Amino acid sequence: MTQDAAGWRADPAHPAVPCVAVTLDGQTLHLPEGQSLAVALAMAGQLELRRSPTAGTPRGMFCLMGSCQECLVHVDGNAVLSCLEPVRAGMSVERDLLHRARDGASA
Amino acid sequence: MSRYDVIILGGGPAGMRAAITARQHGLDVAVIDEGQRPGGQIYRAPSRDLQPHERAGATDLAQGERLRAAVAESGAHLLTRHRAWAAAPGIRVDCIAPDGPISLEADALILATGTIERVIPMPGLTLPGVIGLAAATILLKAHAVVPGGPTVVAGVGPLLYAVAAGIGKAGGRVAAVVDLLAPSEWAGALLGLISRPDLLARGAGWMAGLRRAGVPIHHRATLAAIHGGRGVEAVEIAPVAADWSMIPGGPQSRIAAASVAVGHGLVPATEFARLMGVAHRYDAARGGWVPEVSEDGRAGENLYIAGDCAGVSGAAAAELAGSLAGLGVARDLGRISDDTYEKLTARLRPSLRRAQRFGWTISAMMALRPGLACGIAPKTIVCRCEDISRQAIDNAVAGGVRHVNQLKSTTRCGMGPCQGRSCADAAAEIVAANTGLSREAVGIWTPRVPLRPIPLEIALGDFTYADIPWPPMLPA
Ligand SMILES: Cc1cc2nc3c(=O)[nH]c(=O)nc-3n(C[C@H](O)[C@H](O)[C@H](O)COP(=O)(O)OP(=O)(O)OC[C@H]3O[C@@H](n4cnc5c(N)ncnc54)[C@H](O)[C@@H]3O)c2cc1C
Ligand code: FES
Repeated sequence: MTQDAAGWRADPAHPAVPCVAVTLDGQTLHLPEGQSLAVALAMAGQLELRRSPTAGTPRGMFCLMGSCQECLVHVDGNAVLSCLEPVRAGMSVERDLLHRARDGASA
Repeated sequence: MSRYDVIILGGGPAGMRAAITARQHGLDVAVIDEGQRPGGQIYRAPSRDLQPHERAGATDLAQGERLRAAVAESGAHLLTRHRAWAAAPGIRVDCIAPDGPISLEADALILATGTIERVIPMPGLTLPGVIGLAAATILLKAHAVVPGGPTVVAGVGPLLYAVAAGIGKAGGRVAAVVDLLAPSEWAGALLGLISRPDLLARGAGWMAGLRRAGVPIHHRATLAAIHGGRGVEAVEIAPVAADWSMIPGGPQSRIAAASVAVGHGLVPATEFARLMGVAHRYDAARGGWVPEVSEDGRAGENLYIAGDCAGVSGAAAAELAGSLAGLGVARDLGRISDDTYEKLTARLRPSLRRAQRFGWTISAMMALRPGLACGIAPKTIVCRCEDISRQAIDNAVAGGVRHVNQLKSTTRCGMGPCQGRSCADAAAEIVAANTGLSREAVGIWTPRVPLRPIPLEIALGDFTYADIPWPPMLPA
């Protein structure tokens, strides 16, 4: 990456959104409330949301409109499209990366 | 089960305008949309309070708010956060709502499902940090977020310049714009675009801004590859011929990037129309497969199709088509006479034709050319859901596959959770190129319900073992 590389971030012309605590695979993160979960995770540097089911390559949000299904994560135990899911205080987000790592370890 | 006079599937400009019109003629209307609020793609509602200010999208934001206010006042039932997964003649639409599954019934149906973006794959397309070009408009407009920079913006059509300019205005950095078209092709389209001087001026503003910012613009070029391990690190830019095939041995340049926005045109979202049994034809200049409808959007008994899902023609045309569909249903359901219908629609049709002329000029520029998909490398993933490579599709065709449905059953290409929405065009182009058949001949996937993934309990229905009608026991 080049020197002026910068993360995914909010347009500074808009008022900042208050952040709330959520957990991602058990770790606490502070994300902007009401923001699309997939976008908020990208802003927190978490672009990888899942692994492809056969080749296991990293995947992240792609269409942001509920079509591609690449942004699927589990929120409080339910499978949701994170691009369409607003950030709520206390939500528990799990990616399937963990399970794969665990499966891999036990295999 | 809730019952309405008319269900409108899709709350974009076409659906909102159809709802407003149908309400004006006293119909009981339900609008279904999976978004948090109505708006559709171009007028997508901001995810939080954004200050409209001088930036790409501010005009759209204002028009979107006007339409949203009008549809809210109209008295239509706005069923947002409802994702439709099936529709049947009769008319019945099945959705997943925030509180669980619901089914709606109505006498008439207007489909206004809009478009999805076509992205013809290249190596690295599936890397996190690569998003669609249309997705980038959502990122900028609805979320007011810029992708991690530097960003490479690539593909075809006006969204390229809208996104590149938007990223710059919102404080991001664009490393390069990679446009499949030559400047002469843009100039050649001017005649068809002249009817909308406001939009032309907006486009000129984007270009001037990019030039001032010193953003390199590569014309007649494509992304040969996106490089990176777990995220984007660089892209490879290569020149293309007029049919969008990469020029063998052409000068390639590699530039550093942290994100990519790439899109190759918009495709009408026709899965519900196909499920309802409407005939379709292939028309590359309108985005691909389009339903057979009358000029007023009538597709059959109490069934109308309006907006970009009937052929890509842009937001202004979508609103007018929505009005026509609303009037069509009001007439079919006996709320207005044939005379009133003729009088009201006669006023709208010339405006619709003018708007379509503009929209069709743009969709014709974005029409997919054969070289792009032909050049997909053997190892490149075409079907993201199932990890199916170009090579696997070539092998299937060599083994006798002649239709995309055969391809789906032999390779699983298009069978994953996205229901083939992401790879449909690339897969069909490859089958067509390898067999020498037309896109019409290689066909389109047969839609299968559920059209969106749904929890298993819903697919199985909510009955239990006790509800299963066992035949009475025979006397022993
Ligand atoms: C992602 C994206 C971004 C775009 N950005 C721009 C832009 O910035 N500028 C521009 O000029 N044009 C843009 N376009 C083109 C734009 O689509 C049209 O010009 C215009 O929005 C078409 O209006 P419409 O009413 O026909 O469809 P849309 O505006 O696409 O509305 C369709 C609606 O249907 C809903 N829907 C579809 N399927 C379902 C379902 N199964 N269940 C529930 N709801 C459903 C969608 O959520 C959407 O709200 C964009 C297109 C896309 C795909
Ligand atoms: S990013 Fe495509 S469905 Fe969420």
